[in-house]
Amino acid sequence: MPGPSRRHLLGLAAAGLFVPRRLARAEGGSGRKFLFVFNAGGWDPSMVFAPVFSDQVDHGAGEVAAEEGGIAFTDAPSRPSVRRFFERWADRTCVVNGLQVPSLAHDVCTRLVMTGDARPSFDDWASLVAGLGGADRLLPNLHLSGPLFPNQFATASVRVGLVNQLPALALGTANQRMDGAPPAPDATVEALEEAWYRARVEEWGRGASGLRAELTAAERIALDRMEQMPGVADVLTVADPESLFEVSRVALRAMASGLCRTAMVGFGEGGNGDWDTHTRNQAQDSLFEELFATLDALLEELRASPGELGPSLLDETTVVVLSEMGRTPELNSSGGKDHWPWTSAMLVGSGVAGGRTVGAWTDGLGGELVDLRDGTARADGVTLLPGHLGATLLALADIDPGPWVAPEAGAVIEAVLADS
Amino acid sequence: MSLLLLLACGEAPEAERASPFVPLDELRLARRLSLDIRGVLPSAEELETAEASGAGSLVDGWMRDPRFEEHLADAFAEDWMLHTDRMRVDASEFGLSEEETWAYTRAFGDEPARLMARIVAEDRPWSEIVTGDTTVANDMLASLVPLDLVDGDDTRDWREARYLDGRPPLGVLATSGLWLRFPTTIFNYNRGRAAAIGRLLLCHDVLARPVPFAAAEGTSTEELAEAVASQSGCIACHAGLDPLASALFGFYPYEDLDGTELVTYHPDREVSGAELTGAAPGYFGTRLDGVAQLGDLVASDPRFPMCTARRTAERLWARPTDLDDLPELVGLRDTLQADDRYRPLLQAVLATPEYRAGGLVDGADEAAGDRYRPIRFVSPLTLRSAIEEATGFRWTWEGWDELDSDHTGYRLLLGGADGDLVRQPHYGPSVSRALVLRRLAQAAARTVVEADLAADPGARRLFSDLDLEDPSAAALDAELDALHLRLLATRPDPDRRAALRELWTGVRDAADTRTAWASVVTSLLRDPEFWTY
Repeated sequence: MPGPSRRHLLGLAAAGLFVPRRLARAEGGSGRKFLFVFNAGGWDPSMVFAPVFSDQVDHGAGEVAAEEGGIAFTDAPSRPSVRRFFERWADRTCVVNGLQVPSLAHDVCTRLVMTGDARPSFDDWASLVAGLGGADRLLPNLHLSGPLFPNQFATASVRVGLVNQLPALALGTANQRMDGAPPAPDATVEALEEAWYRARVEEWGRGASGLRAELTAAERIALDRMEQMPGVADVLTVADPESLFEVSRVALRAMASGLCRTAMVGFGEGGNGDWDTHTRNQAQDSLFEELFATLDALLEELRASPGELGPSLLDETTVVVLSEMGRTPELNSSGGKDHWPWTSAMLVGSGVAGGRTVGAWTDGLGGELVDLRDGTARADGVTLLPGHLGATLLALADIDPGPWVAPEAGAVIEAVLADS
Repeated sequence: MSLLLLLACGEAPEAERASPFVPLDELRLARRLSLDIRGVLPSAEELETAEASGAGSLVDGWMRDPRFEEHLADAFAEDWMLHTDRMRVDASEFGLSEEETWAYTRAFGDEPARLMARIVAEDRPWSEIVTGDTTVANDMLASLVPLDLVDGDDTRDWREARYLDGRPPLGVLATSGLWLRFPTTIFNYNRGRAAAIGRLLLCHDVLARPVPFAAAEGTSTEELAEAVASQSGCIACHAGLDPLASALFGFYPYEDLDGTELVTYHPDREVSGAELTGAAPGYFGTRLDGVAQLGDLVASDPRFPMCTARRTAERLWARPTDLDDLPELVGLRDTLQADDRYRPLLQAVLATPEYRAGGLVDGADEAAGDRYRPIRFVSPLTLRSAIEEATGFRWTWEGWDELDSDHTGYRLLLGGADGDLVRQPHYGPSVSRALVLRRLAQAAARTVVEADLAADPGARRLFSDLDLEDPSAAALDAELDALHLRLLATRPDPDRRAALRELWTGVRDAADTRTAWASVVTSLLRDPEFWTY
């Protein structure tokens, strides 16, 4: 089988679409935006999304089955924000249960759940949506933290850094974070250098064909974007890089400003905990509490923020909350839970059929076969796979999933779509 | 007549067909070779040699350069993604401060890469990377793991060392660094580590194959263990993984968040593997009589030299290999195996057309472009070493090396991988890369200008001994030419020289002479011909 093509490897598929402008217009169709909140390490669905109280599933003290606005969940006194979230947002929330991620290794599961394929030549959903339907924005896919699989649409993703590196570079304050701190050039000199460099890039690409011409075009885009970065540095500056809420707010601000179409935020990557609870699974209790409290606040902010097309950004944004794997139903001897290939995903906001749960659990936390049309468990249904989730996200983005998700990898889960 | 002749002869043999690529000229080839062998730019004298005798004439000497080992360690570290900012246990677990975190993560992350590089630099058998009985350690590593420095040369940062905890002679497989980078959890029983051996040394990634899980038939620990041994979807991987995992139990921690547990070998636990994994120690069907056998079995596995050849080719060809490359890869593997030395393999790859391509002929099809990548991108670690050698500037901040970290640094923004949630580098143009290169170039340029202005005659790093403050027109042009050649390995044509002179003059008029030189160097360090090679 031939390897990925040169264009593919260089991630230039989205290059050439960017036209510098102050504010982006919405793409064709809904222009829907996507905020991905990725919970690295593998969450335990039984603590929220899988209220399965069989003798095969170990639950924490005080956990009970509950239901709010059509969504069944596991409630616990120690996680009031989970209940509060569903009380407030169930009507805009769709939970996908029993999603099988066919591996047990973190890196492979992450790749699978974010690209639909274990092979390394597929873009993640955020890059794909931004590359196909948002590449003319200044920062098509804003990568703040979390996973990233840069391939064909690598140029669509703009990496911000964990502690405001991108705005610091744009404003020149990065020079203050250098031992020895050599002086930065003043504005006049920098302008001369920039003019020279732009001319030099054009000279480098003049008369070139093939790869060099493509690289010239991509570098031109990078420079166009760079020129605009100081003007948006404030938008991109995170007040507290350790706070999921504050990091996510940057994504919201960027979306509200029309700067990006998709954004990726990771939660549970060390500083703020770790979902990979092989010992003391109960540590997920506080993680879920923080996650749902943050989601609640984020959705409120989304609702209050004016959108590009209408009064509320929430009407234009889908929040996708997911983790690469689930955890075993039973506790191990260290009070932890190990890797499990069935998990859940939660979609909230624009385009989502609210108050709905798609898919179902067996008593042993396996995924039931599902009818994609209504989301119910059916013996002649299909196994929900990451490709189904991806195809659904593409459909929500008004992108035909056909060329991007192989039919055997997954079709659109129609039951997730509000207009289904 | 001609048509008949063509029909009779069929297609011309490949050797007689027009080559689809144009080789790099000797200057640019010297630059590519120097960056790939030593991680630094060729000197002006070396460029002269390349023009006179061919760039290939420099290769042997460059492989004796101390920077060869340094760069090879960086290359192995990038290839194996050994430099991660986050380890299973924090630096504080070892009583280290926040400012020591970077040095801590790199001390462990570098150990396997440095060991491999040392074996190559000393021209020892390549199989020693899995059979050797020594390691290498710097002061940080030596203070944290049970080993003795046996190399008396304390001028070297990384010295030969021997572990004192009874671990078997397994080369990198016996390094604490490898197993802290690829840790196991209590209930993973080293299986992830076994998978890492397959992926890194054999190019056999058992985890890449999706597992068709049937509906859960059991949920208890015992039932899951039974499934591993009985369900076809599980057996396919576990039959190979579990015996290998079982062989690694001397490295198995009883407390997986305890630093000392993780970096110490426990000979008494070697026997636990069979019980905990349910598989006797083995290597893909061969039962191990002792864990020390493991290295020999890896070294004699036909996948091992093939994987080395493939990884080396992919790194230097800047593309993945495929079935079309198989004949060439077999030849490269044979070169490695002939004397069990890595250098001949490296030399062979550096001599391939795929490596030396600098462009495509007119009309070359896309397949040729995919095979002969004429342009490569300088990786973050090579950028670091090349800039430091040329200008003396290394971007560090509060103990962190900013081109080799993501915590506060810029590796991800340069398109690098953090080895954690971003595992694919993408070094093509991007706004973040352009911004990092601009700030890096500005700082490096100003550093070298100030240093060279203060340097004694003959001791300058980048500039010649001209009067930087008041150069004559001829000296200015000569210096611009020299800088262009040194940093880009091309001579500027009159238009380019005029453009550089115009920049220099414009900045001098707007600021001062030293700023003018800094702007020229900044511009050359950002040049497309600098960040590509």
